[in-house]
Amino acid sequence: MRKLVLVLPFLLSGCAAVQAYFMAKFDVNEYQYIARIRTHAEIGSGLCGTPAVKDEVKYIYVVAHEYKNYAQHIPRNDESVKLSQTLNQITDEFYKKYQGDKEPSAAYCRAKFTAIAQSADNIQKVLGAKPR
Amino acid sequence: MNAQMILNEIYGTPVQDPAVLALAQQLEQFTKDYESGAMSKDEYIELLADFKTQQLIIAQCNDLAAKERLNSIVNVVINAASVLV
Repeated sequence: MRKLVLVLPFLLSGCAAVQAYFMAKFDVNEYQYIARIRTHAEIGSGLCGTPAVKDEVKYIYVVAHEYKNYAQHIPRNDESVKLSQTLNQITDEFYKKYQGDKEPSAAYCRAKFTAIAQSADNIQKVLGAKPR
Repeated sequence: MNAQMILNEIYGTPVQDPAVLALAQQLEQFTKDYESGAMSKDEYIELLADFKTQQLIIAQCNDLAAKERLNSIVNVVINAASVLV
């Protein structure tokens, strides 16, 4: 009750502090999705140029979609939703490239995995720092 | 703006964010690969588009980090105030 009284002025002011106070808390599933994407991107990079790489590309594509869908309906989770959507732009293109007749080059493959791993690492840092 | 100009701009910035520096290294690497003929023009264009997308991810991460810092501050203020009240 005391806390509510203290929070009331913030509530009424409608400022950024209110949004920050009520932001979505740390979510272990969300964190696990992004850690998994990063891990498979790191592993996948060593498989570029081999037939096994296709499975890694598809796996990352699926998990990135899972992360986006999972984050989507969590209340006050706008930033994570935006991050998942932006990351999907990279993973979707990568997956499409491997659906074509022409095999992508190993250099392109490594660069894509690096982009995904690096982006996932950046996202993981901020998801991990969400309030408990 | 070509890749070299973007790199000059990043390396010339006084405050260097490690995430942006890692991004610059990626750009340097895949530009070298393209110039050596290791990837096609289409692939290189897609990677340049990803470079922009990654910049957006860094900006979005910074927004979330700022909100997290603000959350910590608000909690400290509320806890301090609840002790006093």
